[in-house]
Amino acid sequence: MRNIIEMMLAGAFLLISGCSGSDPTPEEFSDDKIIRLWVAPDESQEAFWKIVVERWNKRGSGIQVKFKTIPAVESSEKAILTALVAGNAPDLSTNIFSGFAAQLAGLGQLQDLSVMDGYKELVLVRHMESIMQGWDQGGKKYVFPLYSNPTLIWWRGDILQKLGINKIPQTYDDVYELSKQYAASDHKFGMQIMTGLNWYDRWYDYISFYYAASNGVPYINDGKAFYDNDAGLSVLTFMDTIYKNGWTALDFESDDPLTTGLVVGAVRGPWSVSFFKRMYPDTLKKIIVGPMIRKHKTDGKAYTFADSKGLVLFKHSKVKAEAFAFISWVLSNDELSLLWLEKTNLPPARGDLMENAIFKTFYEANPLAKQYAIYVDVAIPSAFIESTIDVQKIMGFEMVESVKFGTKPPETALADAVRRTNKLLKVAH
Amino acid sequence: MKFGNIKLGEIRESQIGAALAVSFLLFNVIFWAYPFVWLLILSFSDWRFFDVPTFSGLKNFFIVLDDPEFWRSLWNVLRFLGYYVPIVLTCSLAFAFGLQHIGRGKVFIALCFLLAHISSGVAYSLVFTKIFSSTGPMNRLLLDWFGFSIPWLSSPSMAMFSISLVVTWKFVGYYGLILYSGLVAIPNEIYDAAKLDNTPPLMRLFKISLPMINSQLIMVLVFAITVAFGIFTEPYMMTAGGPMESTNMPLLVIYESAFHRLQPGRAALMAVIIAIVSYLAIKIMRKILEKNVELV
Amino acid sequence: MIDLKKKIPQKSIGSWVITVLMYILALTWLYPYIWMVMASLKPTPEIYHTDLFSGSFTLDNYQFLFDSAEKLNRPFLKSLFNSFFITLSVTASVVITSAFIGYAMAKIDFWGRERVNNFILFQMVVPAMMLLIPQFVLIKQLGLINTYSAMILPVMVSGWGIFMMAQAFKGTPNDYIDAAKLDRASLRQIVFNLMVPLNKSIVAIVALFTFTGTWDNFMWPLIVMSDVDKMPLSVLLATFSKQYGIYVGPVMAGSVLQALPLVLLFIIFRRYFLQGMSLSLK
Repeated sequence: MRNIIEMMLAGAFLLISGCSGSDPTPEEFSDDKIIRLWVAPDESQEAFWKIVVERWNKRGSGIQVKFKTIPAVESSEKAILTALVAGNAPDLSTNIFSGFAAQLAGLGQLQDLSVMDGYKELVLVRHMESIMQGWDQGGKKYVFPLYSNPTLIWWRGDILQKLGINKIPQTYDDVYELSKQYAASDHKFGMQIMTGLNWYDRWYDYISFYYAASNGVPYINDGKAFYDNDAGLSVLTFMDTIYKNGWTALDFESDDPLTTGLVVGAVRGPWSVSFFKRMYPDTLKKIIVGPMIRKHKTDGKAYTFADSKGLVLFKHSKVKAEAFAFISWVLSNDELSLLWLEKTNLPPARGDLMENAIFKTFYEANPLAKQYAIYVDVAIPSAFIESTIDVQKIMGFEMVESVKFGTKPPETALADAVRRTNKLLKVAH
Repeated sequence: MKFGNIKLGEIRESQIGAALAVSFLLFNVIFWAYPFVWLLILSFSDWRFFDVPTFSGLKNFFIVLDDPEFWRSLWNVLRFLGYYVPIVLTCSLAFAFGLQHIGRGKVFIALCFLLAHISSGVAYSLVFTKIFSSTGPMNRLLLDWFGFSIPWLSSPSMAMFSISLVVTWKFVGYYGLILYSGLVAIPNEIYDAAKLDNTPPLMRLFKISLPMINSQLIMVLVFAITVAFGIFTEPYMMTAGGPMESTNMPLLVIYESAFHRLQPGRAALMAVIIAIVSYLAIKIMRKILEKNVELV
Repeated sequence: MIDLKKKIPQKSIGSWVITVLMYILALTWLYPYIWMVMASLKPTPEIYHTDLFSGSFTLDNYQFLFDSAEKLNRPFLKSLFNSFFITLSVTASVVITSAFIGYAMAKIDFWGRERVNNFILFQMVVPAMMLLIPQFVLIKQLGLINTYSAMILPVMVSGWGIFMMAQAFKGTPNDYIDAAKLDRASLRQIVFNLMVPLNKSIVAIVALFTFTGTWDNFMWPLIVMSDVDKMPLSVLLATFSKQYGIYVGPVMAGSVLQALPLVLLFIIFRRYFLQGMSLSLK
């Protein structure tokens, strides 16, 4: 008995002292002459970086790169913030969206990339002059976009056909028309309007629709809410009409409503292609991808939201020049852009996707991916503001959910959201 | 304890005792008292985790008191209590009375209810999310039997009610046991006397049973209020504070302010305010209910 | 302690109805558990569309869960180990420290004992949520964010545990201790060979409640951990379901994993759980 207890005691103290001693992996701190890179926690992106980093390290033209996926618990953002707070953040990280870059820059954690050696050449090679304008933060470029995921609308081609609709719906009226028909049958709806309850879900509903309705006008400009216009109202009126008529469900939480045929259409990004390939290959065969819907059809492509992620270089890094050299090497290589595309299916942030011959074969073989590539140049990232979470929470609470539950008419909802957003942005500045 | 007869061994022993107590206190200086210092610093300063905290006076107070989300979370605590207290009190009283009248298998039944109390928060939140979902078993049952379904978690007027049902599920066994311990302590003679007087059962409940188990009832209410202010896992997992922030509880707001918006100062201040309010709520509840006892 | 064995003498029809009703209710209370286990054994598309006990049963969901370590970077097995490691360390530490300090509080007369006792009582009523943010700051200052220590160190000593042990130890007659002292027993021997065996049930209660509380802890590890490799199961499961909620089957399999240890513990040690719950009634 005594022996057992003594062993338990010894064991307990060993455990306790052991775990405090061995914790932070020494490799993360010891060697300054290594570039530490964090990449998005995504199977296919990881596969890309694995190949690229291996090649770079074999070449031996710079210092070695070590990469791992962002240890994302809840979100990449939280993981990166925690690492920064704890003081063990890497030199480079991918998977940074515009608002988060603004937050990090506001906290003084990011390096301006436009002053780095080789920046101009890199932009030139990727034909990104116009894209980079969308990523400007007061004359500085803190984040370099890697890929741009336009949101588009997926339609069940088979259901459209059954309803006798031969062209892809493009306007609100088209959606009303098909919803009226389809929702007449038992327990069916027209479209999935809201993708979820989180603040970021506004990207895939209100903001996507708003960019289409306004032809790409920003929703936040000059520290003020900018959606206080016809476009902003038309989106809300559209949502209101859909909810009032019961053409969408309050929630679709159990199965993807496209696969069950509960709805005919829903907003989806290119990441859904690989997800459906794995989970619902049969449904994927029936999917037709169409542009973002808007009030009236106009000439030219419909604008949309870009779920765009980029790469940042942290200010605390001791190997900034070397890290940027590595990045320049990866991103200026056309062949690697193709590899990226093949591995991830996500459109690289480049201005020459349709022109550059190297991507042609890929897009001919992958029509769904091509649809998305076509919209890259009219897809706009979310606003560069520090208070993204709060701005989009207000959007959700005051506008989208108010309309969903019918607590306010669209006009009041819009006015309330604008008023609260302006107040918030004023306090923040 | 004999004085004047202290042996050498006892002095040594009292030193050991003091050393043990000191080690306990030392631990608390680090992990309990020192954080209080930070609480003070955080409440009065601007800090984003990276820079040096700068004194900002009452700025945090003004921002927090002007934050509609914060006020809504307090209002939500009240709403939660409004659903939770009546439901859980009725259920656990029924449980306690039921337990009193069971011949065989008391332990088995108590254990079934208590199993809910022991379950892990994340797991049962997930299970109930699925059970309550629009096509889940709950709605399928309703649809089959009554021809309608209920948006348990997706409507702003229902979500808080559903969460309080889940929390009730968890705590009924425990609260019921507390009330039961009070009920069995009531001498049978009192009931017999009441029966002789022909007091109707409902009267007996309000005139005898409830006043006699007053201290147990207050204990249950203290627990209920504590749960209401400190609930996190269930709303975080089941609704993420939505829909329309109808289940956004104080700890969710504190968590987001500190770790998503990186405003630890505001978050710490909110926590202090919430703690004070919960303390006051318990105090007020006690004052009101303990007065009633004296009347009876 | 509550006497659940006490029988009611009269056996009227009414009490039979109540008994049956209570049995039905008790089973209803178990329904979420049963549904969870059944759902974890069915393919995802069948979960919502089959009756409780029908469907094609398979272990695929568990397979998926353990495979997701590689594919989705969600090491469930590792996190199960993490949970056990953290929970057992905390439990061992709390039991040992509570036994020693509780013994001191109960049986050793030293200057300031009353004050320490008052401090413990005071500490137990201060809401823990107030210290959440400052404790995080402390862990950051100690450089322990993202380490096991962050989850173990702050809860290694428990005022509640000391209080419970001290209350129970007070009931042990001093004669035993004096006899042990005559045999030149050391403090460690007195505590481990005398007090602990004589107060087995209170030790079990402190251990069990510490275990379940630590196992179930969610918010604190959510705050201090961001590395999937060191994460306890509760947090890994929560993040997995937030990201892959559409895989209902595997999520339910994960819930079973998370709930099972506590359920087993409860069934095995039900006597102590009942005792512990009724102890807090006084």
